[in-house]
Amino acid sequence: MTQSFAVETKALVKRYRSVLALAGLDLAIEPGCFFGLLGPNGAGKTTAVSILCTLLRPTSGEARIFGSDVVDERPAVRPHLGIVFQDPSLDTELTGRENLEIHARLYRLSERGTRIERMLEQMALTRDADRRVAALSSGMRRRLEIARALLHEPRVLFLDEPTVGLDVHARRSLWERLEQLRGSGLTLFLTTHAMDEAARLCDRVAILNEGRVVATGAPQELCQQVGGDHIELELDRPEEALPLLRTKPNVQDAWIEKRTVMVKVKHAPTELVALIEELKPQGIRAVRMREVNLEDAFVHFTGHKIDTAGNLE
Amino acid sequence: MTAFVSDVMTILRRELLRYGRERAFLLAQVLLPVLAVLLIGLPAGKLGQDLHYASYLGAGILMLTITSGAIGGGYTLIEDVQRGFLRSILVAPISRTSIVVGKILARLLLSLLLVITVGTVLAFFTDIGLAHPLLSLGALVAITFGFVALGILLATSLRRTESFRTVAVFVTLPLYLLSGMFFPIETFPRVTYLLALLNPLTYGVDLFRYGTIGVHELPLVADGLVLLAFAVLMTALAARAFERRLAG
Repeated sequence: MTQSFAVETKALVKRYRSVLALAGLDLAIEPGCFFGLLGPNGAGKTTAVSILCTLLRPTSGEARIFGSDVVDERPAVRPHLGIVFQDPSLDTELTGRENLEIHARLYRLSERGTRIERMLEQMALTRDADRRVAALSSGMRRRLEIARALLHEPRVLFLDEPTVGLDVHARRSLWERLEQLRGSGLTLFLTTHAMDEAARLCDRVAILNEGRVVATGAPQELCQQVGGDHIELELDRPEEALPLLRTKPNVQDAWIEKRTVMVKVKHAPTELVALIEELKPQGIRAVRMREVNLEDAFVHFTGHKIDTAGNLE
Repeated sequence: MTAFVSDVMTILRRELLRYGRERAFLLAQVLLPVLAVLLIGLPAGKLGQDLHYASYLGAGILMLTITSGAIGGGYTLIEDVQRGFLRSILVAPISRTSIVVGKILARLLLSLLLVITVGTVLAFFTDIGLAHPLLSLGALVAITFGFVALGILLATSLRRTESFRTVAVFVTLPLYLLSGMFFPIETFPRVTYLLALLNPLTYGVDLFRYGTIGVHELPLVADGLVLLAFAVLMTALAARAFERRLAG
């Protein structure tokens, strides 16, 4: 393996008794990349993060952070890691500042005071730094965890489902903070089941299905691979439209979803006029069109739809 | 080595910050022993020629403070596992031993502080003093190690930690009653006397009492050996249980 990758795994397998959580994971992430590991709940995302963070031993295969093995060279790996776990891991009895202070000491940092103030400011927490964590909102706690994870200037920041349980406003504010870290040289390893989050933050994503990567690339690349735009038609008699649509050469696919006819075409703006003309007899009530997005790509590569809670539909 | 010491100090600092937040609880830990000695010990009069029951009970109750505090201290480690906080420490570049040592040291310091505070108050109306300070300290250290370890063992073996308090009482109450904390074990019936001899806490209470008021019931060498073996064995068992818990 070369030194050049921030995170690299080869044929990584983790088996819990009868359950195969990772079935040969291969990843290669360049330094500075904002990377997203996408998958439904139970796909193995947290298992992958736990192994990469030196907390869990893989059953087989290898994993390296900047060239150091996460099993055999833990002391070399750990100082490079910044981690925000899926479940909160702050000391809720202490204040935000005290949490950062303890963390700074665990990493034996110099100039602790200055660093802490800077991080508090960066995560917009200065005003609430001396309140007990138990009294903070979940959005503030998440930002505090990120502040803590960044305090020792790690080279890789792991965020495991960082916006689960946050309201819309807190999510957006978190994304904005993360966006500011781009270009600082920091590598971001994000796991999420929220496709909008991945599309917004990630330079590259890998789609995980049943413990294996089924697709990888930039979000736009994956969308292009899936290809085509979607036209959605609300018709009086949708079932009559399907056979008709399927005979058309420019229609790649057509199906009905919640009484709406979904049509996949190569280029929606040019096909739209022809389609409307064609389907007038079926009684058109509304027409929408949209470009293919990461969610479509996810469905395409995994064969599953995912709901907002991250479960397979 | 210096890194290890600094890691231990960091964990210690965090523990002390937390203990500092529990002022009401600390106050209760000072008041209860004093009240017990005042209300039960003093009216009971003399136990022997020169021995007031208040002094005897006072030394025993100081040991009770140490023991129950230590079990609670062990429990906080498992609490850290459950609340997720421990993960944030485990990924830091520090050794796992330093976490456990830091926890035990924090508890030792707190127990020492409590014993000194309560002991000073009790010294005004009992014979509690520093007959053999090093032996008292030895008993305090051994019992703290042993019972922090017991707390960890109990907490790791329970699936539901809400039941910790119930189980802890169930396990510790017999240990307390059969330890000579409250009454001399010589006055016990034969069977209970034998049970008391099987109880490691008996030796801790005996040594501590000798250290504070100069009175003991058992050979001091036996006290020392049993306490040493107890502390070492329990710490080893707890370390193993904790490692397993982390792995699982």
